[in-house]
Amino acid sequence: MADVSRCRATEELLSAYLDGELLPDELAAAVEHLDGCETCIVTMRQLGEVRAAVRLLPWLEPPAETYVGLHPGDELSAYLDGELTTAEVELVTTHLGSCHDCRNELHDLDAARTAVRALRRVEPASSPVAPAAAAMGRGRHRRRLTLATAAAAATTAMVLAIAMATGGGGAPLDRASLATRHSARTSVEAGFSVIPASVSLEGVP
Amino acid sequence: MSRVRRWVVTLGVALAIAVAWAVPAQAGDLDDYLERAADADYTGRRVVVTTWDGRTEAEIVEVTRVGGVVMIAGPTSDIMIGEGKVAMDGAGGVALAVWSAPAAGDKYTATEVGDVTRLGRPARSVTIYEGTVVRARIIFDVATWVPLVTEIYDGDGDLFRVAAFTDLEEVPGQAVAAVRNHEGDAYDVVPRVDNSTLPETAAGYQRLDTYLGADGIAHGFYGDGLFSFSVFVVPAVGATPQLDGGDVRSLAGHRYGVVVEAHEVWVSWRHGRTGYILVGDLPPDHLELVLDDLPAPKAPNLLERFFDLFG
Repeated sequence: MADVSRCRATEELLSAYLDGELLPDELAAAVEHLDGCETCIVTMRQLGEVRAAVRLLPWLEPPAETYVGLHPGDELSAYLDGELTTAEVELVTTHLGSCHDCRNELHDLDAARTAVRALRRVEPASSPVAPAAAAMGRGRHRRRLTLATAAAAATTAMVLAIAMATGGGGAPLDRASLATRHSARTSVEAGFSVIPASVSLEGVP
Repeated sequence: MSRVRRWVVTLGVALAIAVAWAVPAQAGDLDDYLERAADADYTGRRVVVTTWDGRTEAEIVEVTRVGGVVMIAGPTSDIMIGEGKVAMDGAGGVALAVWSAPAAGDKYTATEVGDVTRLGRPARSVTIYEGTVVRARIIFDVATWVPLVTEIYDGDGDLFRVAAFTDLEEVPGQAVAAVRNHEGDAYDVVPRVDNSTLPETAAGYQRLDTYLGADGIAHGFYGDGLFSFSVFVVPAVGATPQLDGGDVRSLAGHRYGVVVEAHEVWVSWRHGRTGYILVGDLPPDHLELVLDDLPAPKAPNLLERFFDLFG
């Protein structure tokens, strides 16, 4: 029988799970739960199907007269990938119609993705370097060298593309050090006398 | 004036006097209470419980406070906090070189509700208003002005945090000696800097000081006279700073890494190549307003990702 509280917790994570945006701890917990919970697996499949359907939706023109105050932030990425729900797409589209900053951000993001996609498509056989070398009528040895160079360039491009797409791992954070600095400054603030709950115990062994 | 009418007037005046006597409500400045509480010296055990979004975090701490310096007993060692310093048991710590005067407390007004008894001690209940919203209720010990119970409320009236003493004694002499024993500790002094990319105010909180650590992390400290928080700015972070045990939550329309603890909340995010970490005792509605005024989460662009890899 499904653990209702864990199901509810996992359900909240499913969207981020499908986006690959879970923190390592969350991912481990979600995977562990999904492994044994048929209910959540069904929910996840349904969510995946909805997202697949959204990808087929046509581009919606933003209604210029509507203003939505919330900046979509990281959701712009999901917006470009067609991974938002219909309601979310509508909200983001509406917001983009009235927010110059977010339109610029979307443009930058789209340009970055286009560049990354272009890098991924580089393959040794179709590399512009190889045909160019062949057209110059150089010798066999030179062609081998060119192909090797192209292959190396393509491999580098692939690694670069993957690394830039994933953005690397999370930076470890020394919370104890930050908590110490925060507590030191808090100790001379007036509220400290009344509510010393703001004293951090982070880092106390 | 008829006899009946005279009786009615007399009864009305008597009733008004009785009501005024029974409800000795007195509006005052929050700063008055803070100043009186600043002199409180005590030792005791305090329970802190925070509830947010259906999750509850709790912690029990042994606290001794003498002359504005607080000593908290950890499982194996003590931490001493006060006068701009934090020191661990015999291991030195951090000291701020200088700091600004505390934030002005005109954002809040305090109203005495009445006399009560807590832990068998005469106490006084005070309600702190932010405009017309009840932001806190504090029960002060009349003899020492120690806050025996502190309740913090979210903007919608939900109880957010409770800090309550389960036992309390006025501080004995040996506690003073114990606190002062830390005076010989070695400290890493953190200098204050004038420039900051952080806003001067955020949701009514004033940036009081900015410090720069030896690790290059800038530290902006904000306060509003009652609550306070720090924002740490990590340059060229390479990835969103990860908080152990954190959730990803939607706040102020964006997604943040969040850790809720009994005493405070931690929030992390990334704006381009810069990482941000906020820590403070803010109620949830204040936190959302503050985040709205700080640089919002923003994915790095192509150039920034390139620098993440090779910069």
